[in-house]
Amino acid sequence: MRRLGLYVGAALVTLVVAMALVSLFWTPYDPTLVVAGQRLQGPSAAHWLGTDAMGIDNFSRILVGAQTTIVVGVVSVGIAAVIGVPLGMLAGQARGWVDEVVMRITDIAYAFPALLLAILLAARFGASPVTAMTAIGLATIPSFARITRAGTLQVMRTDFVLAARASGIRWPGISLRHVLPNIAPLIGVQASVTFALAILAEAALSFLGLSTAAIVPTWGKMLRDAQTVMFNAPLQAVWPGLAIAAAVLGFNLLGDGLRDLLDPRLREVS
Amino acid sequence: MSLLEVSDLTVSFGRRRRVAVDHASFSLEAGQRLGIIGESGSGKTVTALSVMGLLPETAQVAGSVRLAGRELVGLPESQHARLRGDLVSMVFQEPMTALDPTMQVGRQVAEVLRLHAPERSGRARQHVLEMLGRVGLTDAERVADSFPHQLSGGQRQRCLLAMALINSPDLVICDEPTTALDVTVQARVLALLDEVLSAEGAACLFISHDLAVVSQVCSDVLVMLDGDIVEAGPVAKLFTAPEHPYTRGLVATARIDQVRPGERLPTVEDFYPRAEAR
Repeated sequence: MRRLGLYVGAALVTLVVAMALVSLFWTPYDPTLVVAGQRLQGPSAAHWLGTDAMGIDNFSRILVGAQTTIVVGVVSVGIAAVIGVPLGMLAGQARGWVDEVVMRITDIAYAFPALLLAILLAARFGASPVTAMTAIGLATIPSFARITRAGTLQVMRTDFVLAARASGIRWPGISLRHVLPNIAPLIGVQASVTFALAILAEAALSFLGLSTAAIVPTWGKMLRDAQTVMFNAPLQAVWPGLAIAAAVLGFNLLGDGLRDLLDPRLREVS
Repeated sequence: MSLLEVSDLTVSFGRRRRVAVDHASFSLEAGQRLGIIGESGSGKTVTALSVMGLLPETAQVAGSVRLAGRELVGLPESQHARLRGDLVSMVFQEPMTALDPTMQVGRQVAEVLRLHAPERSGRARQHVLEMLGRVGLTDAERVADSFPHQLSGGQRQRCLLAMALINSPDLVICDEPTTALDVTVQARVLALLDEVLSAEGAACLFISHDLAVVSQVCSDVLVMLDGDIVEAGPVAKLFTAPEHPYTRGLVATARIDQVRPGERLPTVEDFYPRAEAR
């Protein structure tokens, strides 16, 4: 029972990934095909989740929207990890003034509103998924840097790092072969939780019109479209809302489950 | 010229300059084995770490430590790192935590070999297996491919010993290498240490709080108390004619077999009363 969360999380994440993969090859209808005669239909055998204000099949849009969700998550987490993890390891190993400089910059970046960053980037480079991913990635660097630094400090205090240093191994070797493998679980959990955050952030940015400009369907954009017909067709907002909730819940449960699974102190209890 | 010459070594910590080692001087010849005896906080580990150059940054070191004619105090870290694992290596107290849990032990031993002897690294695995065999691990193949948590304490300590000896160092520093092991394994590891040190011809600085253990491995011994070396000499002389009252106390407590039944066991305080409780 303790691992229920992990299994549910893994199942939801698998579902989202499967939706994205399937939509690459097949959708019930063209997700951009406007059919004027079938606007705002309810769920039916032909259209499982009904159609939207332009007569486009909702199920097809949800499927294709999963692609954007996955890509945005992977790229944002990638940006955050590739910059944040080395920064955190540097701060945790160098200590002294390097640590101070890196962590104070991180604190400042942490205090900067992520939404403002996204608006600034969109204003300068135009609203697109790329700016949205960049904004989310940049905004989550500090949390990666902090958790990596904390883990690095812990590993650097261990006997095996002292033993490695006593064998003459210098810091590049210690970083790559001893510190990184030992903090990998920590980073994995952080990545999973950040992935959920990124999905939510991208949906918010789409909703505000700061992400996808074109007709590429995303879950956030579907929510925005649903807003205008909210009182006539409330179900329009439910489908993308459910999809976002499921994906975010999935990645959060996966992250929590992984943390429980990989934490040796919790493992001993079981 | 001695292999290791320590003179007037003083190590203090922090802004208030709390002194951990106070003007310590001793020397060690090639192949000689010297024990350092002392209680927790007496400065024995700090002495060892200053030879290794692994003291924390808050430590202030004065005096001189010369290893094979090279001055180590003030030596840049990059040059000191080159000596570690090659000319001088160290075996740690806790075999449970001194091996990286995410790496097979064979790879950990090979890492040290590659670092200092790249010309031998082509056949690294073979060298590693040979070394593991020499420290008494009969199924070297299996041990090399195991992660630390799959091995027993004695096996792990042997792996650490293999790591320390793989590059045939001139000096091996052992920091209470058997304290974490149970008595039977301890006896076996000590016998093995004795054997491989003789075979390699390596000198040894052996740190312990246990006089009996030191007398098994070492020919000479230093007694440290609160950062001072209070007595030094051959192990036999220390046992028969201890000079410092603290040493007399240590010897008496090590010989509980001479206490008649019914008598109170001796304590160090009987010989060397200490004013303040630590």
